[in-house]
Amino acid sequence: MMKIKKTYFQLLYQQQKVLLGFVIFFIVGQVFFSFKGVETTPFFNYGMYSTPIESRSIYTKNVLLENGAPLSLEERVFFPKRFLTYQLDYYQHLLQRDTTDPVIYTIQKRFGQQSPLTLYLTPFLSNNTTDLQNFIPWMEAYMNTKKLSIRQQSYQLKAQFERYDY
Amino acid sequence: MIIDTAIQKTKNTIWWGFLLLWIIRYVQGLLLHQLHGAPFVSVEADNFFWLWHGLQLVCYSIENYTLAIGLDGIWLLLALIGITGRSKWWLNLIFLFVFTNYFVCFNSVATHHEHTLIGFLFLQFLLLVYQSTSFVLTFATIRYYVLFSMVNAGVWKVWRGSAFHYEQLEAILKIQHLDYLTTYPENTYSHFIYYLIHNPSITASLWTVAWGIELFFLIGFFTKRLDTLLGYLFLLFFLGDYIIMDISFLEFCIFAIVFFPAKGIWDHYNELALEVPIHSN
Repeated sequence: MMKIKKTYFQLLYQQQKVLLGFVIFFIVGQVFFSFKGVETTPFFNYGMYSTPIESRSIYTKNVLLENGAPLSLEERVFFPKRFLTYQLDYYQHLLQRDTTDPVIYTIQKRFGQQSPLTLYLTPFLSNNTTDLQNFIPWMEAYMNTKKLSIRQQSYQLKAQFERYDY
Repeated sequence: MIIDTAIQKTKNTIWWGFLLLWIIRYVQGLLLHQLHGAPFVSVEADNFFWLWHGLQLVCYSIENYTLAIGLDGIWLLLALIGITGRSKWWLNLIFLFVFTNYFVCFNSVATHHEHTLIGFLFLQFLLLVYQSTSFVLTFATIRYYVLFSMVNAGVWKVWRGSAFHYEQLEAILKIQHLDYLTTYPENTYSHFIYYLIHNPSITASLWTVAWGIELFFLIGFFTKRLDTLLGYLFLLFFLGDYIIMDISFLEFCIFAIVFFPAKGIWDHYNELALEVPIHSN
């Protein structure tokens, strides 16, 4: 007597139809969101660094200043460097957009400009000028420092990165 | 029975992972109560995030300090109970809500939806499964997902073209290390990074190895025999990510559990798979 080996899907079909349903739903959802090029939890796209990036010689970063002196996030051990970098970048991003959160346009596009759903969701999904004003005081409290400010600084790569002023 | 021990071992490892995650996040100041009052949220185009925000769960979790302390406390408490093996299904269900809430809250206020917590997000479902056959099949499903995540990353790079872009890693290094290189221009690690930046043939080779490893995980869809190798490659890949690119995927490494399963998991799976007898002539 011989035995044949069932495939993963055969096993799911015979033993766990609920799980099979989840798997099929997941595959369909994943294909759909991959095709759309967006993510909706739990359908993630692992496309980090998949777009070609041109190598340049001049780069700009957001620099945090304490009492006017640069404060590097690298110097703080156990500090959430990435998290704070995202915050600084987002702050600059909102400033550059004249403090208007672009997600507002997405909400209006999805649910209509003045619909009840748009009016309900907008304060929960977007940031406003008050949030922007609260950012520096919150950073000061979070980092336990005072007199924080942010400026952008450019660097040019020669043998090493050197400060670059336009 | 071996399978029961294997299930308990796997669950125990996941609970330990959640406990360590809590400690790491606490030390870094990234638990809910530590993020209290964070000014920004970013929901991006994620419908699930929209729903969670619409239900005001993020708003309350971030703005109500007492609630934030409570949610962080429940995470710690349930992880400790889980480690002792005394967790009940309804406690695990509460944990599922608490951790999913943390996942959405953290990624929202971080303003960047990271992938590092996805391993925990998926593996927590194993804690809800008690019947041995269901557990083994769920485990196999998550293993396929881990393989998919790696292959998906490689395919995106090929599809969008960065895989064959000679300058890709060189450009990434400049972006990722700008802060470090300008803070510590003279230390050994900075010299190492500058060496890579100034030697594009080396960075191009490393880049090819990186996406080659990602695509190599495709083999896991056809056989489990190379799982130990895949497991070490998985860990090596993220170690390289951290050392060379300063990208920390430490938390994502919990997924390595699917390549180093407790003894008995695949035995039970194979028993199920070989169940059908056919008569030969």
